[in-house]
Amino acid sequence: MTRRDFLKKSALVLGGVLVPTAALEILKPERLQALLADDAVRYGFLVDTYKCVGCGFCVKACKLENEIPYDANASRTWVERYVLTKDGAFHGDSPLGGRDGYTTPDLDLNESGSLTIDPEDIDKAFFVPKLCNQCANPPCVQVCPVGATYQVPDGVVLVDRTWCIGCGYCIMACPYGARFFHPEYHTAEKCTFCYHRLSSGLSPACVQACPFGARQLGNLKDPDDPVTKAISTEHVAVLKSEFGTKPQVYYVGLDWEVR
Amino acid sequence: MSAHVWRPLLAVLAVVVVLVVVRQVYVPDDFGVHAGGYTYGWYRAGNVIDWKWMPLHYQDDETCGDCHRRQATEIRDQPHASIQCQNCHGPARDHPDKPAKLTVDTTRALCLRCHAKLPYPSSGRGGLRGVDAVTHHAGRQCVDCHQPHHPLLTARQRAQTKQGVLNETCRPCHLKQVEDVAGMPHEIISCERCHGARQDHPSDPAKLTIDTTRQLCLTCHATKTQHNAPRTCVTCHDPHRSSLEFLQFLPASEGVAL
Repeated sequence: MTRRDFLKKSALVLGGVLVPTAALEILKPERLQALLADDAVRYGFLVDTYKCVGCGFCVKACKLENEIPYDANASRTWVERYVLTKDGAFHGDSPLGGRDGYTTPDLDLNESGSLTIDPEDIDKAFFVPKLCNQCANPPCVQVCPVGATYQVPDGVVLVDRTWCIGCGYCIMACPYGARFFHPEYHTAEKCTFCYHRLSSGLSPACVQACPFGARQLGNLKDPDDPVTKAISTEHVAVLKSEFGTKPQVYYVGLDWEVR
Repeated sequence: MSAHVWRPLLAVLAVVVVLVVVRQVYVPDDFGVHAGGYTYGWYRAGNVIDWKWMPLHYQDDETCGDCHRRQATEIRDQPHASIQCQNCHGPARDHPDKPAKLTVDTTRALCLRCHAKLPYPSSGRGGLRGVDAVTHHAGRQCVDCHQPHHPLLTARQRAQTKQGVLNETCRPCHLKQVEDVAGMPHEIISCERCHGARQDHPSDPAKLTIDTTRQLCLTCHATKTQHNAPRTCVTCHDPHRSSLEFLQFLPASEGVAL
């Protein structure tokens, strides 16, 4: 072997080693197709906490639309109430996920009874609707041992009910408590942004049910979408950004006390 | 090599072959790594289609007005216009096929979702018109006095402005009765509340069945449970003209000794 041959072959081997296999994979036609086809949509959600009045119509609609047993204390979306008193203390409740709305000023503290707060003592009170954040880096998907939960290229994280073994790993992994066991299927359950409604050209049930426009769904890849515009021009926040999950549910007027 | 080496090797090989065959049969063809890579995109592609075909329960609210034009029009410039029909009337599903009729939620609890007064000026809730749920006609249904499609009018105002559409339906034939009740306390009550659902009357049913039970009157006049029990209220009171001295409207023969 001449020195020239040796250098040529070394360069070839080195080059071959350096090219990551992932870069070659992207050239597979079906993979390329999937990437191009799904380029158009990335769903994002915008919640305006100023507008939410705690009526709970969203929770009711979600449970009926997605066939979550109505009286089970489990829901894909829920509304939390926060009351900040003048002594600096924060109180919160979410009875039945806010399904029946907030009809009394007393806070429901489960087995500890209820808490009556003098209106004079209230510094600030508000409602925060919550749902799956459809994270860009979903920890729930990373931990699934069987590939039963996954991220669709449009950003929505789904659960394959026929494939889920019910180990509960994903429920533990979600920092937002957005996952639960479906009381009937006994598989992991979560918000899908009403995937079946999106594919029919409808809004998610909670968005449609909200009389105050506190919930909106948008396409983050469309710069003219009102939700995208709001997210890119207004003060918005996400929940637990320090976890690095990159949530795609954005909040207007999110108080620092909300976690 | 001797048999004691081959036997365990063959056993291991057999297990591997069985596993491969089972996997081939059990794992669907569309299960694998898709766009998103191994970390987020390892799934059964058919499941995305499954989710897309889940049944709808809430229909597009825009479609209600296609048939229910009057209701869609009357609510358009009202404060409740932003509330979607199905929030109160229930999910439409495959209406009008199935269910043929939706069950409207007329409970007090439904209205209190927004209209129970909460002392939260910093929230949108503080700006909504609200009542004290405990003291404001507790036990009564809001729709007894308020018309949800015209929330700014009380039921009485609505009846007096001849928007009491239900009673207008009955007026052409039952002029005397509709006129009788006009201006009286019970004008706020629709004819159907006591006379039963009209359906296709007068063809079907030819005659409506009127509810003259004590129980019906006690729905509102709840404090009168012991008043001349167990007589029915209509023995003495004329429901159409109930605010006037009641006995004078009953023929002498029907007068009762009290």
